[in-house]
Amino acid sequence: MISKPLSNDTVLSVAPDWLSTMVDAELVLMNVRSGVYYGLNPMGTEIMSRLAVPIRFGDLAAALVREYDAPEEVITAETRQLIEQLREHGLIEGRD
Amino acid sequence: MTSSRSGRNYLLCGWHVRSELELPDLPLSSEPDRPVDIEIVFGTVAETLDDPVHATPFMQVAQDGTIQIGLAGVGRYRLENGRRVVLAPAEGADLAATRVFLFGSVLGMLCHQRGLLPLHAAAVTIEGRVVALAGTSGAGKSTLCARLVQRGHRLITDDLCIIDPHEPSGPVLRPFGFSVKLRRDSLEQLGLDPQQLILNRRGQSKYLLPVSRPVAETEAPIRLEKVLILRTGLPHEADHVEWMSGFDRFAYLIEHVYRRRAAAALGRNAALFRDAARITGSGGARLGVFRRRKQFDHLDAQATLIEGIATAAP
Repeated sequence: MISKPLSNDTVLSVAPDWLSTMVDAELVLMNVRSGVYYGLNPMGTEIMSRLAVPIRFGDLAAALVREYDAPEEVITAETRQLIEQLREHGLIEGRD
Repeated sequence: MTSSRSGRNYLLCGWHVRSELELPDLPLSSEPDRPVDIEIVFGTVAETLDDPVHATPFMQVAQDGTIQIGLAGVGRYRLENGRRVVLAPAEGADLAATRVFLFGSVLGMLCHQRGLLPLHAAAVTIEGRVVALAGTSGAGKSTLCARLVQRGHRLITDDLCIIDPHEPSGPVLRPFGFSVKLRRDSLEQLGLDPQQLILNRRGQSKYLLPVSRPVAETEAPIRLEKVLILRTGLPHEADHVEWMSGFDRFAYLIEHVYRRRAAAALGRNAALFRDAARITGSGGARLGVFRRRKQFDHLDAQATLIEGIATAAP
């Protein structure tokens, strides 16, 4: 599936068919159809938890900039990269 | 056919089982009025299931959850809703071999149909504490398990660890073991004479070692405290256990679920995910990877290491 490029207005949400649980403070997810499962690092865990309710990419990045002590462009770039990876693996969906 | 057609009632993994196939290894039930959980009957089983959603030459799973397992020279088994097993022994089959598969793949898939989690693992109790030894075929589960039994510990199971993840107090095991399957080379190293043992299956060099004093059906369920995944370590490295946490703890457990692909075809992914999360979650079992040398002369040192792990605080 080819995704549209990510813009600030892209609304992100957790894709259907994924179950998640915390094991020793790490988020583990499994796709109930395919049985594929992933573990996320703390940043991935943080982002997935913020997608429990659909959110615009711009709002997500702004919230993370407020939360973390790092330059805005660094946080935005890293978040974008992680979101792209999560989309590639089908964990999250984006719509404009 | 040498078995009784009328059937008898047995206890297996906490279930009341009525079986036309004689199951001399299982305790007989003393509760004739108790409802039957699983019925094992002789009958006709087609060569393969129609329209399977999962199929290998050994096993098929149908859309409605029916499972069929077949092995040339042994027989065919059709598992219906986790409540009924129809068994068609192959012509001239040794019924001992049909029992071996009943207590292996058939039992494992019945667990999936009935919502229990079967783990590909041996398990023993050491001073009342449970250690499960998980690993793929050939990892050394049975040999290590047999050595632990020789050292006076009690067998729970040699290959299929049946976990009830739904107990409020934490995951528990349902014991059913009564023998350990061993390869000929393992027997010799363990000081056992193959001539005194029963062959697992004709043409296969695996033998059944009967075990005295296994953990009985009738005993209270036992809490699963520790799971060790058996892996071959590097030759120069001492045997050691590396404890896992987070994703790794979950992943190692789910990778050792018995016949997970067939279970997925039964629609069990979501349930297995929740059960594995419960088993590895807080208050659940510790899980470590046991990297060990596979030479027999290390077996006793490895048994000592496992004894120490089993009796240490959870």
